[in-house]
Amino acid sequence: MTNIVEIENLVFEYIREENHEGEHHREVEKAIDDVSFVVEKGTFLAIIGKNGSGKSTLAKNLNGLLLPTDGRILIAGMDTRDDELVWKVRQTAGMVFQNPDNQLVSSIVEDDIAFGPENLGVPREEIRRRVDESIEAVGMTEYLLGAPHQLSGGQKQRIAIAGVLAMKPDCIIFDEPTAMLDPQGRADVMEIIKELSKEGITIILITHFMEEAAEADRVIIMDDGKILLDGRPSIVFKEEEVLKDANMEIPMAVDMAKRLRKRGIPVPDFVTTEEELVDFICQYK
Amino acid sequence: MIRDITLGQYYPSKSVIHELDPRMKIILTLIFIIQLFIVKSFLGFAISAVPLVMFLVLSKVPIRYILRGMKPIFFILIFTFLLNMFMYPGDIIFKLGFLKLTKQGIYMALFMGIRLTMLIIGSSLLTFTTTPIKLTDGIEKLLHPTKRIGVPTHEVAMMMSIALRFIPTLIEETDKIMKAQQARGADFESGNILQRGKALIPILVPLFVSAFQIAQDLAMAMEARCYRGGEGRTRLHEMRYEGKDYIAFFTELAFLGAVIALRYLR
Amino acid sequence: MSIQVENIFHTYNKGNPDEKVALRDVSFTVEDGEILGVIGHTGSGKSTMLQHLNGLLKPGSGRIVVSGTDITAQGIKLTEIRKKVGLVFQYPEYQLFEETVAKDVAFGPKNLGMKDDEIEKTVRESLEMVGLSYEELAERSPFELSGGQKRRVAIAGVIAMKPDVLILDEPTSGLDPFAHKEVLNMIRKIHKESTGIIIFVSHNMRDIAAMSDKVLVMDGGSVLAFGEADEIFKRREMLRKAGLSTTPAAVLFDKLEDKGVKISSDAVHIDEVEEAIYGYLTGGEKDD
Repeated sequence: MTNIVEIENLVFEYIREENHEGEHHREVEKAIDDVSFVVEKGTFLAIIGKNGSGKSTLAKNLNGLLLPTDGRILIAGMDTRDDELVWKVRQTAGMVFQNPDNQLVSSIVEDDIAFGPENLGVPREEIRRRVDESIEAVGMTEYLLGAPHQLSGGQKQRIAIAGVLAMKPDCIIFDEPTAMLDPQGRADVMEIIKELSKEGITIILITHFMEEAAEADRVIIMDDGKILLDGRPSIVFKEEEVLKDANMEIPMAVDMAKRLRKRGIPVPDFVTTEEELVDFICQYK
Repeated sequence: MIRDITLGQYYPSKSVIHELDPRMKIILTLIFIIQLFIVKSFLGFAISAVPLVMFLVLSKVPIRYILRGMKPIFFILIFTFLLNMFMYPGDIIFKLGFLKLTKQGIYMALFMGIRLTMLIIGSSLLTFTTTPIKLTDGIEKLLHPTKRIGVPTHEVAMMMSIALRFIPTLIEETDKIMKAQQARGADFESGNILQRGKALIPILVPLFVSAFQIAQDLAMAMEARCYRGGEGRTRLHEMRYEGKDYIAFFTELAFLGAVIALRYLR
Repeated sequence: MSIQVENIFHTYNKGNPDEKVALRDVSFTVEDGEILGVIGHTGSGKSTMLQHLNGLLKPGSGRIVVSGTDITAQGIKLTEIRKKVGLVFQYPEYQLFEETVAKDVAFGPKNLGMKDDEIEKTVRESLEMVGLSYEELAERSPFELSGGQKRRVAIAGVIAMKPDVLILDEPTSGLDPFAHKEVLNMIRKIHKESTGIIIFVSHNMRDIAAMSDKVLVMDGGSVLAFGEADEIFKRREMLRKAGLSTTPAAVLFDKLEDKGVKISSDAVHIDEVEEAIYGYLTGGEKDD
């Protein structure tokens, strides 16, 4: 398997300014502090951490919206710092943001989905085809000619996903896509993410919901600009002490599996999601 | 309030007029306006009314919708009508104080009234049948030749369409902020002008903060989707003049010719 | 102190073709010392209902009595209502506008006509109440603060008005799990030390289950159920029909039921759920 993302000793610094009792402070802060990892093509990776852990900064570094202070990032072998390649990088690694309202450009849904391919100079017939395919992939075909401001948060987010899909990316970075949604919208968006992952698109999901991370193939836990844990969900969620120190709760299914194991029920290690737990319990039917 | 204004608001339908090229509709509207100013007789208006009614019927926009849209300017219409009728010098028919009803006044009032009404209906037909997005696209394309002399046509059109996209969002935002401040006891309804002006600060500051946030987020989202200006962009809706555009154009041109002939050849 | 909502009806755009009934015969009562959790999916009428409690909307019919005062009565002063009921909207940080944190928190009290020394005192108390240091933050710009701090300042701005009833519309939305927990603890503290009645809306059933004494379930503008929290969460069928994703435990039971595994249990808390599943797993083995 090839690596679609390669991060080598990434450091990202920013300047924090603050006025305190009339004095002006300027401090250089490290949002990301010497982070290295690779992501294999087709992986569903979840990056989790609390606000200020550096996870969102990392996401914006992945497609050249922010550039490393030190170290480098390769997307499908392309250096994000290379001015010549930046558009190819952004086409390869698409991005869906947190606020569903502030990322839709056009007042008509189909025009919005077409925005990416239009910027890439895709021929008209091909744009049409991609718009129709993408909106179908997110189950919003009936809203093709609708206006974004009449949609719910979850629906807007699905349109945003369609807009990225229309650019035919190999990898999609989701920067807390469900943080501002209600439970229904959240479930719909997660369903689409899982579907895309099945179709072979590499998914990098930035989130602070443990339940969402449990769906991934791999989880990275970030704290204070560093990687705290990295591995399969079943392995990561075993590190209860580390998680507790980082103020994170393990998902309900993991907790329940552990409780049952303690009482002598042989729940397999891989059980991290509710579906897996349900499947296990069903064996006793 | 703001939502109630239908003057020039898009009326969704699938008519021939809706499907005309937006550039052609802008050109037709301009020609029609010129035509109305060339006209010097009621016969001229009658001739001009033919293409207007024709396009109106073809557009399938209900008359009721058009009339409702005219409500806000109805007052202006009546006002100019009365002003012309009573203030125009000429042969006096009837006199009441400083108000003089003259023969020429009645003629002028009718003449101007018809011209204004046709002007409004004609130009709102453009916005009734063209989405704001297509309208801005059309303007961009029409102004394209001015790009060589340094007019940033693409950027202007882009800004206009983004403004259109975010007007509903900002209205919603304003509503939210107003309610939140009211819940903190803010009073927007009483007091003199100075006090009321001051009462707007708790709305305006958060509104600006929110607008800047939107701008920042949107800029990043556009960059992430490879936006880099108008260079090398293709469009989903490529504009192309078709048969119906030419038919509409020459039809309107014929009526313009008729009006010119009526005025200068007699 | 108490709040009584009696047969509230509300219709948007009354008389217009796009008329929409938003609230239909809504009634409930909250007594002093109680926390009421309100649940219902988007569009169920929750927000409309909250705005009635604060006088931002007037009911078409019905009345709302707060500590003996009918706030829906003709001619009642709005400041009178605001003194009794404080409303914190979802994402309240957008309401911040002053140069300093202290001035912003003082905005509400000032509007209610409190005296200067009184304002100073309530600002200090409110900031401490939401877990912020007055000394450290009072003179700073609210726009320099972190997201979690901004939210606290916004909430302080409402409790500074010293309401009898505090309403919070999804106070934890968009926060990370750590800040989330902090805000919940803060609400508990406010409840214990300052405001007797708290009404809070959340999509997070775990929070509702953990915090509330009573629960109000709204659906399609009407009250679907109202009662003791534990009783409401036992009615899994009803909640499920209303399309409400319930507590994680209930979700697990629902999913099991879909696969034909019926565990009859009233379990709400995780320990009870564990017991129920353990019982099923061990009992099932014996049957075979």
